[in-house]
Amino acid sequence: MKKHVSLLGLIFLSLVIQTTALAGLPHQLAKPDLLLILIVYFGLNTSPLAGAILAFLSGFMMDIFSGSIFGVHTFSKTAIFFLTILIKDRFYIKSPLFQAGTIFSFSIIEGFIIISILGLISPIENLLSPFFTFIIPQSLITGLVGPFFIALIKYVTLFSQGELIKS
Amino acid sequence: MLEKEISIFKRYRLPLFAIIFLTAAMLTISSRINNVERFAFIDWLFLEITFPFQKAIIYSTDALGDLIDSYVLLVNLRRENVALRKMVAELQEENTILREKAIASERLRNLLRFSKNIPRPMLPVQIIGIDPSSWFRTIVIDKGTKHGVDRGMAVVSPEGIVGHVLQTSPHCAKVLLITDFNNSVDAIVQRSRAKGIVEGSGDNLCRLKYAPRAHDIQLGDRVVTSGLGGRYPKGLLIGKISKIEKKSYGLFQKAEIKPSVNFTKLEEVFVITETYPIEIP
Repeated sequence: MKKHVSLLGLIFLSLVIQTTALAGLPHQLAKPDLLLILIVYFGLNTSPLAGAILAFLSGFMMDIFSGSIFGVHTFSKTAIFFLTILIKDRFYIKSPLFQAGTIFSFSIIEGFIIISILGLISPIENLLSPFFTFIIPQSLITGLVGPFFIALIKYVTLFSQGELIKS
Repeated sequence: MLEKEISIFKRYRLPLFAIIFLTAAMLTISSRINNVERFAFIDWLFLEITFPFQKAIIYSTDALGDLIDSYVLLVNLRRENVALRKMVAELQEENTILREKAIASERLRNLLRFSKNIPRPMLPVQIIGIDPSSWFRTIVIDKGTKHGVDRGMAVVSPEGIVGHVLQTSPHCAKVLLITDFNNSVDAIVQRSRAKGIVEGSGDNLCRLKYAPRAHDIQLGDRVVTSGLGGRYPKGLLIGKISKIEKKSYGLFQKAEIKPSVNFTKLEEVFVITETYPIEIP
């Protein structure tokens, strides 16, 4: 239970940092998505049920802070979690380079998921234009930050010595 | 029998969880689209819990920024002359503080001048959070229902309109910016009085739509609020025309608008706490 709470705390802290400190970065459009990195970490290191709950909650919390169409991030983050579980036994993603590549790819995939949901809910002109303006820059930044952030999460979770984390 | 059931569950555990959680997420989207009010309590509860942490991080990052500006850049000078460095650091710190105060004073003077020009009660608020995703354009402000902020109220700055209040909690509120593609404002082109609807395009720009083709719209034209709808006072600047799309057929023309407000540099804004149509003198 203590470990679950500490992971929830990590989600909360990442979200607060993302809405405050990271939002002030010079290039507004290319800020790393820390929650996506956390979700990939959960996919690699937690049990399916606990990870799914955490991924769902991460997306839910992000939705509370973000935009007007509620549930978009809840869906995308949960989907990314299950995608991570699907690929984790098929590809080697323990090294930082592969982690960066995986996070970059998932960030792009999440972009497509969100575009699809938004397109389904309300027809919007030029829905694909964000792909070039911010999905690729944000995915690159998230991919670059990913391995460092994962190392930091591992360091933090080492303190709690969780049963949930199979590190 | 039980063992067989357990093994079937283990085998299909992952697809089962995926179906359950993804369906729950889809239901979240669906239920929120149909009934926003029912879940408002969860939203404001979470906004309230997060509010002090956001404020603390904003203050600490500001303090850290000041520290870096004041000291870290002077590391090389220490090698040359410790005493001189100390003096420079002190002067620079003092200078930074004075400059910051001068900028803040100028900003506050502008805000005061602006608030006097609009004959509506306005509440000055500070921005404490920015949308964590790149998809939507929202900000979190440090005043909520306890200070008189309510859903739908207009948010403005001396440079122009910012957006409107989307959600509230007792001590903070979420503002939907005009650049969000779910926002639209009734507008007119100041020079030619051509009317249209300004919608956010999601990428820090807006689009003017439903402007009749026959109306004269030119690059650089200022687009202002029409006052229709009662949310925004008439005559507030939205932005300038940066691109015109006028086809040889059709009833309407479109245009791209560069908002007058630089959303990346916003610090303080005003919430107009009344909503009824009125003109700016």
